[in-house]
Amino acid sequence: MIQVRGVRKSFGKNEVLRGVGFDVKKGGVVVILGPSGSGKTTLLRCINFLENADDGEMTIGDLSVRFKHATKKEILRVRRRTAMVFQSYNLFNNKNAIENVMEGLVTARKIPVAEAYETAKRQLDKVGLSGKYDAYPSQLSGGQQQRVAIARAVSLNPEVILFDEPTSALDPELVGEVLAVMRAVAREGITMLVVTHEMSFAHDIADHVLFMDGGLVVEEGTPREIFTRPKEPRTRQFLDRILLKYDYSI
Amino acid sequence: MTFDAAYILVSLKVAIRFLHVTLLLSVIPLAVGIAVGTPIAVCRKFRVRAVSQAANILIPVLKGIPLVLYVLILNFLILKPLDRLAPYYAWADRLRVMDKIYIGIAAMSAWAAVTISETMRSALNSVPAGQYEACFSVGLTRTQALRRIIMPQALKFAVPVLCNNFIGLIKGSSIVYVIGILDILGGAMTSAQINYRFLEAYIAAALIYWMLCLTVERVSWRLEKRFKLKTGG
Repeated sequence: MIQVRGVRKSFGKNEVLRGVGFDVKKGGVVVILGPSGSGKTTLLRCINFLENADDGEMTIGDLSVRFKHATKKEILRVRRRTAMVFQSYNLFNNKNAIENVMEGLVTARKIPVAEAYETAKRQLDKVGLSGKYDAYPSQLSGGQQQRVAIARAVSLNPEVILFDEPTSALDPELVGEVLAVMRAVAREGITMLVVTHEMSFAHDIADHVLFMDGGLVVEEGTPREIFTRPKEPRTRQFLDRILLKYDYSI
Repeated sequence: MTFDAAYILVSLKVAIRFLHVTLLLSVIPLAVGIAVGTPIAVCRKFRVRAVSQAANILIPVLKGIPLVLYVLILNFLILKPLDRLAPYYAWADRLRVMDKIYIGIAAMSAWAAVTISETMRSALNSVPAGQYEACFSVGLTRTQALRRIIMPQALKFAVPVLCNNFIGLIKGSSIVYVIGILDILGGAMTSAQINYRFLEAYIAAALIYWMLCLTVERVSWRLEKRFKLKTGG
């Protein structure tokens, strides 16, 4: 169970987050939608302390932190309970696929190498990369890299995985394979917080949808509520524009 | 006076006996420069307060001082206080003939530390921000991230520049003649003292420097290729 309350973040005079809060149930999949510049990515980065939020607090399981006053130790503990999948994959360029997955397990979690190797192998097999253990990131396609990144995140067995537009940098034909892997992850009951522009995907896997605009959560609800009966005019406007493009129907 | 090509060989034989001086004056500063410059660069990258603030002020200043002034200033700074002490300990005679190579090495090292800290800083900056973020997202500490992920990648960018720095040190070391250290250049010049065949001596010295730099260049090339293979492209 994750609770986030009152997150604020400004870059100079630009207020990107103006008091955002939400809950994620254990095993839940929360999708964050919104136009670009609405603060979705910044919100994810604040949760992982890649950005230092100006205000707000968060509870992950039994660990509570205030963003502004978090100590180095607390930050490390939060990071070891979360994992992130980045838009630009960010695999370790000097490590091959299996080493990428093992790195967090062995170095951060101090899991014995043999055990970490087995875990990494299992996770890579699950994302359909059993033949690519030794491939370096530069030898993998975007879709393959992102699947390694997902394997890396899942193998850490975190309380939540943060997905930051995981398919936005991919060639259109590679999007499907990554979404398929994410569906599988969701089915395993892993808690996920997903920023995405893939609407049909969001509709299928989310059990809760947040719509953000201008640094605030404008509307939230089940996918059915948000996609078919949005209450706020801003949500309706956004969905009209996006869904037209995807020819969406329920 | 006619040009005597054969005398180049004579000068060469004299100068080569001082090869170790030039090597001492460039290899030790290279090592010191890496050992001191890298931590400075890391502190600046991670904005470690005391070190990075001091470095932000000092390094731009120190960078603007020519190598020859490092040698002259350090020579003065080290000799002056010792000279004052000398009468009390009857050192006066010894100081005149003291081997100044230590001063040369110290001056070259100081210059190398400044230069290499900038090399390493740009190498650290060449590693994409996403690599740092990925490290933190899987729960690595800064030290672990540096050791396991960032440094190995930064080295790929640093190696060619470090080799350039090293070549700069080899060639730059020739200016220690201003405080009377005999290195390759100094050695070659002594061979011309008796017959004023300076041009031949200079050419002999140039040949040795050229061979040294060529060797470093080749090693650099090999290292670069190895790093490329290691990261798979």
